[in-house]
Amino acid sequence: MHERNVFGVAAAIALVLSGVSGCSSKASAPVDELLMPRSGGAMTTDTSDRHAFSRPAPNLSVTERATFAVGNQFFNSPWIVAPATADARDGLGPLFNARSCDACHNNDGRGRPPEADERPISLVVQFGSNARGPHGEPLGDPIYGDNLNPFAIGGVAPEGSIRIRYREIAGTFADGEPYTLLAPEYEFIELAYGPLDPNTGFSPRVAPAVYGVGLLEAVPEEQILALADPDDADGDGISGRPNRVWNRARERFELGRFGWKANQPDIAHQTAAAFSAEIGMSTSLRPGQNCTQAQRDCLDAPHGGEPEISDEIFAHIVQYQRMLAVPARRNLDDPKVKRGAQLFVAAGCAACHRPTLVTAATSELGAAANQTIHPFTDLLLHDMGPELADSRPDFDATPSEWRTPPLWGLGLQETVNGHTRLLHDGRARNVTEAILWHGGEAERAREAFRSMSRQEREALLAFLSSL
Amino acid sequence: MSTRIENVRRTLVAFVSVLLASCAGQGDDPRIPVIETYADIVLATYEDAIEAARALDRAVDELIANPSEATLAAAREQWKTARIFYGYTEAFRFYGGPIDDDDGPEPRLNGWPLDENHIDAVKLDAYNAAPGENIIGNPSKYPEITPELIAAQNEAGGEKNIASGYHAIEFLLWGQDLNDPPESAGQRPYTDYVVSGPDAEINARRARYLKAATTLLISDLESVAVEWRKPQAGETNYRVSLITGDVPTALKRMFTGMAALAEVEMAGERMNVPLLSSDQEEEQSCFSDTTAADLRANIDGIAHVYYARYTRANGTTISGPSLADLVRKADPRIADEMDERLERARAAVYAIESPFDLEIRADNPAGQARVRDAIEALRAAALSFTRAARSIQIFLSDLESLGD
Repeated sequence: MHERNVFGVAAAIALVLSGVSGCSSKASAPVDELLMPRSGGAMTTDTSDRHAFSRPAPNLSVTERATFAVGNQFFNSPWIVAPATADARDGLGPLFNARSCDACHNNDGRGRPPEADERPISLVVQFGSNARGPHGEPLGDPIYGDNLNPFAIGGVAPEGSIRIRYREIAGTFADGEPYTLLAPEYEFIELAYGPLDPNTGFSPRVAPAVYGVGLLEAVPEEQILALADPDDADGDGISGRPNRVWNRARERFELGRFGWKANQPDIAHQTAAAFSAEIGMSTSLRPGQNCTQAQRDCLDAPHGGEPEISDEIFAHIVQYQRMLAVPARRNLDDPKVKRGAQLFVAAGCAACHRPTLVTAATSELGAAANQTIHPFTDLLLHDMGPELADSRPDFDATPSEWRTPPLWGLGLQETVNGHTRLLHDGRARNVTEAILWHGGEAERAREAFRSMSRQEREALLAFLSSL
Repeated sequence: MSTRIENVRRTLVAFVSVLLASCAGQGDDPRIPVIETYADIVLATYEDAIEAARALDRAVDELIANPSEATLAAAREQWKTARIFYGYTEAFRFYGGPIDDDDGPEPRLNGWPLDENHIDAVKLDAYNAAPGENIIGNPSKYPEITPELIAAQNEAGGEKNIASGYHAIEFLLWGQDLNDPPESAGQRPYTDYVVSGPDAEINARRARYLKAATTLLISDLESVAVEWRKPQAGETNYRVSLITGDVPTALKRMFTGMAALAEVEMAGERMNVPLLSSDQEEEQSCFSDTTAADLRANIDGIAHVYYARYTRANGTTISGPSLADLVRKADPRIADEMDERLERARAAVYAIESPFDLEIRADNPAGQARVRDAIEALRAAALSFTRAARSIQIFLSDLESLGD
């Protein structure tokens, strides 16, 4: 019954897609898979208010819930300047972007670019160049290091800030309805340590959502690699490449899964990297202060011990994130949502935004094992075209390659975070704009969307808001 | 606060008609007097907290005008008293009421951990060089120290940076707790407020910070109390909306405040987090070492709500129809369980010895056991609150994300 509808729409779209069948093997996920209510399997929460991204998975044990509560406290509380009386919590900075995890991952959700005259908090500008470290990692700027830190503790100069100007780009849907996109242009201002190195490139990135990461971490590497098609052997225009990144603890290369470029192998690496570069808190995985040799005041400033965050507290913070539930779907009986699901498949979106993955039989967290989940990602890198590209290669990811972000919870972002900004730098003001920015491998899907009637576009958006 | 009142006034006309209609329909509902008594107790507790904050403010004036061992000790005593009344009021949190709705002053009043380094110079420690700049020590960046400045600093950079409230005042009265000897609290000398000699300017600025902090404390508490007073004819506020609004919603808020304080805040953040982090200063009132007293005030505040009985600072008692009465009428077995578990929680919390920071040390298994016992008792009490609420058809949602 669904099939007929799919082909009705697909036929129209296939015309746009230069006559080739729009449905390759990768793109043809059955529509039922797109309408499953429990996005996180047993780790799904029914909360749909502003706490929707902050709930513990319902299948945790009593002991695990206590761990969750402890980790939650450290995720939300500010870290403080050393030396302080509460010395488990001191060591902030010297240079930093935020004082707490929650400042950027507010309510465990998504960050946004700064408003005019606001210092960036939940948008971080990372530095890099074609020069790489021993494992292919970006080296950062020789003076400013990994990323721009707009704040500092007393006695140390903040590195500077950015000003974003948006250039308006006018476009029209195939039915003639106009739209406007905003292309960001960045200017570095108030640079306190001199100009950036001429070879330094940069990559602005907003804080991604945290919920559901325990499930994504539990998906077996082989399953993700099986989705990869680096040379587009099946000729559907979609490649999908794994990033290979360095695991500092195990001292080996692994599949990258987290971050906008899939540049971190697991939650612990992602968390330690953010603590080091963005809050200025050291951990066993990322020891030392986040200062370059050129930053004397930073190197000489007080610190909070080594590591500043004990292994025990760090483990609680990592486990807390692992335990966060994914919100359940809403409005699945709405015919518009059902129609939107068909359009999502027909337009080819599901080729990268894979509806279903299955977690491994064993996991760092028992609750995350053996779950059929619906994250709408393949965790792979895709070429998204020159308009979205940055200027900072990241392990194997080229400037135009980005990891498919999971879409689960998308429809609750405004409720939880009070904004609808999307994409790695938050340039899209809403879902429509985010789709319209898709280029490269996703250009055909974007064109399919642009060619839809207004009613079809609304149905697709209704589907995306049900996530 | 003024914008909130204006907003409320704007909807006044519509509201009065709803109010009249609901009064007519709910006249005999035995649950409404329970909500009214609750509102009376909430108000009386905030009024006592304000009175105690004013006494603290006067003691701070004395300290600043005439710094001595005696005036510093007197100010510390007033802080301890003020803190107990605030501790009672924490049972009125966690449901988005006037204290902690989106623009509520809770983060300014009770934020933790305090960024003491951002406020005042601190002692160097083993692995550190000179501490960085701070508000008191930097007249060029912060020329005027006012309540407005510290309120703004509290959220500097669009996020938390705790610079005001009870713990800021505590830090300015006690100083850092360096645990030397281990049982001691902070040992700030009264000479930190003597305005003469080479440190005259810094000491005067420290005094201004302290006064600004007590001034802000009083106005923040007042902004909450005004929402709980009986408004003048023709006006409304939170109290009116709670008493005349949906009855189950009001009862749910009362239960949520108690259960969340017991489980999430006390058992979780204030006791389990310190136990697991094994850090001696992982305690709420870390400068004065009065965390045990905070916990006692919290559990007493829970009992005030459940039994609708509060003996005020002036000795008069406010009491009336209670949640306990409603539960007992609905299900005596649950009521018995609730009584028993609340008493057990009270006893376990009172058994925690002061100073709390010694109780949580790894080399004090007996102290850790007392804290663990209190955690268990509080969790059991919170579970019973869920059952007690259910017995009168009130369904509490999960509490974990209340801290997010």
